[in-house]
Amino acid sequence: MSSSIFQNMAPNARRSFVVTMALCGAAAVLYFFAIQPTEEALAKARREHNEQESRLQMVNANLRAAPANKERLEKLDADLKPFREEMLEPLLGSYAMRAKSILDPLATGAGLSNMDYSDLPRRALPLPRPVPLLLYARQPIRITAQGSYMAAISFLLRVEKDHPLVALQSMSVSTTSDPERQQVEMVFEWPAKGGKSK
Amino acid sequence: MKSASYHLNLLTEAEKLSSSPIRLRVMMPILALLAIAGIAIWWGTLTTQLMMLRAKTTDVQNELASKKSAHDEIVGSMTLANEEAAQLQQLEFYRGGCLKWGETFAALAEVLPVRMQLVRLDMPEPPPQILHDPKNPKRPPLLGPTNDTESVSIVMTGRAARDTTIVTFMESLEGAQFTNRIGNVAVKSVQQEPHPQKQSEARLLAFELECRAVDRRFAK
Repeated sequence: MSSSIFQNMAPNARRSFVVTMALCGAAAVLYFFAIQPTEEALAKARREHNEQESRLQMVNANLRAAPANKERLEKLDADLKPFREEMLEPLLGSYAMRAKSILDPLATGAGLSNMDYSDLPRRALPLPRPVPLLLYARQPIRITAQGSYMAAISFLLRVEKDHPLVALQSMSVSTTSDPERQQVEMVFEWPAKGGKSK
Repeated sequence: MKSASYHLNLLTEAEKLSSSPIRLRVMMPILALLAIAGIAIWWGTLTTQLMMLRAKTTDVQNELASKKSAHDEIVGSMTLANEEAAQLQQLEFYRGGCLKWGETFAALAEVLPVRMQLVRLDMPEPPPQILHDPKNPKRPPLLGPTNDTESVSIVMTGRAARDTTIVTFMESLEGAQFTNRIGNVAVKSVQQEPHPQKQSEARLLAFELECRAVDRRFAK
């Protein structure tokens, strides 16, 4: 029926219909193959531009914060300095050797004798948030010696005065057959590097 | 001479009565052509916008590239600052658990009654840390303890001539010089034992006192 309508059309009308259809087709082709891809490309370019723009804003903000960050880093370094100075580093692979080199003069000065040093298993510290890459731990060193109670306390006072970050973990003083000489055992803790968190 | 002219009325009756005298067969292609022109303008506008946006993005990228090295440096510095802040926090935890005992033990010698002898003074080691999950031993151990406190106690073993001496000593341990370190003092055991030197019936009291000390708190 539709073809009969087309057949019965006047030649001018038929030509006009064909031209209109062709132009509509061209319009559709333009829309689907030019407008839509361009719109998609524009949306993508807009997203990319926004990303780059926000990245630039972040970069500018970070660059503006550089002096403040430098100041913060200097303050942190200053705060960490006493810990770094007091950090127990192994000497010849032994923490006890390092502790001996630090504490022997104090012990001798206090009047203790027969000093002996040994490593104890490291004890972990609670984790801060966020967790740092480098963890710290408590390194206990057992010290056994002989001397009077007052010599032991004098030694403890000297350690606490000269090394404020060295802590007494445990202590035992017991009498021996010689009333002037007690058997002294002390465990001191140092801050030490405890390994990596990742 | 007046020329004769033909006048052909080609409009139909429907066309004469319609609002637009232009015929549909003329209007339709013109409308279609206008639509194409509109779409072409639309496309042109979009393409111009796209080109301008791409040019802007390129400018931003160039600016980012010029600031990259300075930015990388500051990012590295910020990462280092954050890492150092976290390290410092953990070391502050350590500092929080550092208790000074020298003055306390020095004061102990001063308050010890004359008729009393301490034969042993013990501040025991804390129990070992359990970082492995006992229910799931295959799991990797924890990096740090979940508990931030460690209890501390002092056990004093000695001999005294009288029970009042022990009471006096216990009262002394409640004095001002001990309050910041030693809390509750309790008698763990008391028993009589013969005097090691005197042959008479004189007896000594062997005692054991347990002092609850302040906890070591590994916190800021």
